[in-house]
Amino acid sequence: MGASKNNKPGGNQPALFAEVEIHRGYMLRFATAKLRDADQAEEVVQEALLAALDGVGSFSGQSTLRTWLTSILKFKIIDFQRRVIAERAHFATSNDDDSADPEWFNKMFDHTGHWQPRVSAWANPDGALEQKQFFEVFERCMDKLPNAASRVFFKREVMGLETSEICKEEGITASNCWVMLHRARVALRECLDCNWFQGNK
Amino acid sequence: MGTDNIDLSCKEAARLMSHRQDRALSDVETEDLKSHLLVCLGCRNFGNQLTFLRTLARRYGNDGPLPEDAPT
Repeated sequence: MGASKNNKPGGNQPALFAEVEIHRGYMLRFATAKLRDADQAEEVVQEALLAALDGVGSFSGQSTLRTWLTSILKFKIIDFQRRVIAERAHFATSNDDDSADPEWFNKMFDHTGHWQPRVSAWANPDGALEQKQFFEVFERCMDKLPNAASRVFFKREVMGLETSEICKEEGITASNCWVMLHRARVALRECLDCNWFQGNK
Repeated sequence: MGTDNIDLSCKEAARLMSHRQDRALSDVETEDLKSHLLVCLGCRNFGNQLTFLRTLARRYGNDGPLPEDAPT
């Protein structure tokens, strides 16, 4: 007898592993489309596959293997997004125009809205522009921004697109775009200050 | 004549300086910001750094640091 196409729980485990593996490419594309980030997609697919192999007993064989795997993946993606949101809450840029400023942002000002501490001038910023290491620091600072903020900042400041164009592409309002840009700039300024200028006084 | 403008907080001033890079400020916003900057060194520093950040980003988009013999 040849191996059954329809692997049932408790059946041929290695064959099932191999069959699950066939769907990895599809799952990766699915996750990438949802998360827009290849590394994160890889991570959730890995989690979903582990969960699938772990819970293989619940695969009834009534749906196709791909449908079953995708339903696990969807659950893992939602779970992952929740975790990311919680992790990055201090950098959150909400989609709500009137939303309150995030905590990390408010911490830069005292209760009367004055800088704390006061922003001090940077020594020789033009000199920094000549140094490769400074650009590496800048890249790392951009990487620390939430994905959406990082994209919007990149489009506006690096590519020089108009905000109206960015709004259209991102599906956000103009005022939301301005708020995101402002928070991104403040976060980047802070990051450059801590990681370059304070040590180069 | 107005006195020193203490109506605008640094937080507000910072927001306006950032928005100024993306949209035209209203006359009132421009005036308020101007008065605040006159009396606030921290915000003047912040404003300079925002301008620098834009230069940095544009330079980054054009391949990073200038080669030593680049024309200025």
